[in-house]
Amino acid sequence: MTWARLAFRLQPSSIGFAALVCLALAGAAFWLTADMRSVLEACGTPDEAKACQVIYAFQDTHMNAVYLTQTGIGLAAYGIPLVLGVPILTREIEHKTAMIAWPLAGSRLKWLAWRVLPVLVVALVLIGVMAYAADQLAQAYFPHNDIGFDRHGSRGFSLVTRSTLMLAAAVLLGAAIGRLLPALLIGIALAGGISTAMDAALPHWASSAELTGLETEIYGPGPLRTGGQYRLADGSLISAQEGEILVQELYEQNGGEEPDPALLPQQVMYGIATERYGEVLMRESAVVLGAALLAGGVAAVVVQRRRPE
Amino acid sequence: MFAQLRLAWRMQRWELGLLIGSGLVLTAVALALPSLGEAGIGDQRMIVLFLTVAGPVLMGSVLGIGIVAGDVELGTARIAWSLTGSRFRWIWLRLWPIALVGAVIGVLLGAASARLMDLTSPSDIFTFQMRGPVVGFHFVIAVAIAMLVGSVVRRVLPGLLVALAMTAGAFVAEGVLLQSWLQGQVELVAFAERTAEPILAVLAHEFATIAADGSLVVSQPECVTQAECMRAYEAMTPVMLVVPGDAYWPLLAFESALAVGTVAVSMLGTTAITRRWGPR
Repeated sequence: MTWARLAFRLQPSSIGFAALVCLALAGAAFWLTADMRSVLEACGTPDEAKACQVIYAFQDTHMNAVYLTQTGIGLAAYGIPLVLGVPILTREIEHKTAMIAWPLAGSRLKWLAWRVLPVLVVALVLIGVMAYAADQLAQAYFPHNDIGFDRHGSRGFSLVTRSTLMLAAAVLLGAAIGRLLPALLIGIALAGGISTAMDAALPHWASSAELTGLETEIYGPGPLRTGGQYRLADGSLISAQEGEILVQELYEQNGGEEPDPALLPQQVMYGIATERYGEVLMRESAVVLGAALLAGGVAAVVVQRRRPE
Repeated sequence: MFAQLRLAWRMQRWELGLLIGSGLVLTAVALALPSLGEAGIGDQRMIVLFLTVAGPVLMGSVLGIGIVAGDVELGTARIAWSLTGSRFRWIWLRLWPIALVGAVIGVLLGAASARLMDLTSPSDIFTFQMRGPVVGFHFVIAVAIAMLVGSVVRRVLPGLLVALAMTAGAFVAEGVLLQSWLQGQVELVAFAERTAEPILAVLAHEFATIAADGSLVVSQPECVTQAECMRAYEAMTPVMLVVPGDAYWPLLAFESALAVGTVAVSMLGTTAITRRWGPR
């Protein structure tokens, strides 16, 4: 517990803020999860709710609260590492204590490890609780489906890895810039960049293929949908836009009535199937954690080389 | 005047540089988006408008917190405040260059976002907060709130977090208050009779019937089956509940008064607190 006490004494406001935000969001997520699951307890009885039957079980009753909580968790996944990581070095440099602490420590790397590791552990515990709560919330919102890629990045292990990368990047920013407020501002822009890059990279962690069965639905949880086309009766493929025009023309030719199903082009959805989520998660996590290690390594090099002022 | 601007630059060059740089980049993006046609009226437009609302709050809080909390935390307040003589004067000398630079950037950005939004019909009640001089006023309000919070909290990071929460909360509360005021300004306009006259906000789309005196009355059709409802709706007039453009000027006057009032309260409050608590 000594390291935890030391970490708290050095950054009481950052850790206090992180604990407050993470635990409040986790609490809200757990409460909503329990509330939604309690509705399903009546399933199978004469008084069963509508939620027992439909895919979007809680859209009418819990959507706004769930969306707000998930948005908060998504923001905290980047905001908390930023608030915890940036001050570690900037405070020492701005307050000139690095001029004493670094020579006294002997090894700057050892000093950095002692400063960063306790904060990393505290961050992982708090973010881990929040990530687990977010995962439970996402599963409770779609109780009849495997949620697969739904809310990927803002729940479960993917949230933890992204936050770890953000924390390492925040420490690096603090080391490179050496001033708290500018590093925070640049960190906010960097967080936007990391989030966008992660989302853009997601479809590339596994090859996209034609989806089958229930996964061909355009909306809903499960697979990661990357695009759609239409298949004609002769088996050739046309674009989604061309397909929609063709369907409209067939309806018009038929005087607004439904045409012969054999003539209608069939919609084909492409994407990564739900069952491959684990594979994608593993690949992404390996790259993200590798990037976090790299950022930590660069931060160590910067601390070794920079002047303590 | 230039000496004080130079002093502000020397003391907060990173923050001011980021404010000017990001403000000009965002303004340029807002100006460039319309030339992209359809491509510029999607997510990119929403991101620019979101940053036009969130940017002044963030940058204003970051710059404002440094005025008192930054000096106290770094220990420079002891010398600076003693040398200036009047605490009020020192705070004013630190505040106005930041407020001026931010207000100029905010007005430029507000003009660019107004041009961007005029390309599409106004659709949101909060539209006015994303355009025109209001963007600059919001920056000044954020600076003033952060300065006052900094004089109480006296540490940069906790102060910044509190200031951000307070400013965001204040603007949300202001939006809710103004929403109820705007509801009172609503006029009913037949969709087909919409002219080029400016509209501040479109609150809702409804269906109306024409009363005996020729006026429009919002109503719901009395029908059971889908076919009956379709026929009933066809017989009615599609209308919009709009806030007319004239309502913009009272709003602008309110926003400017709010900015001046917040600065005055913040200046007096900060002066009183720093006098009482000293530079520690």
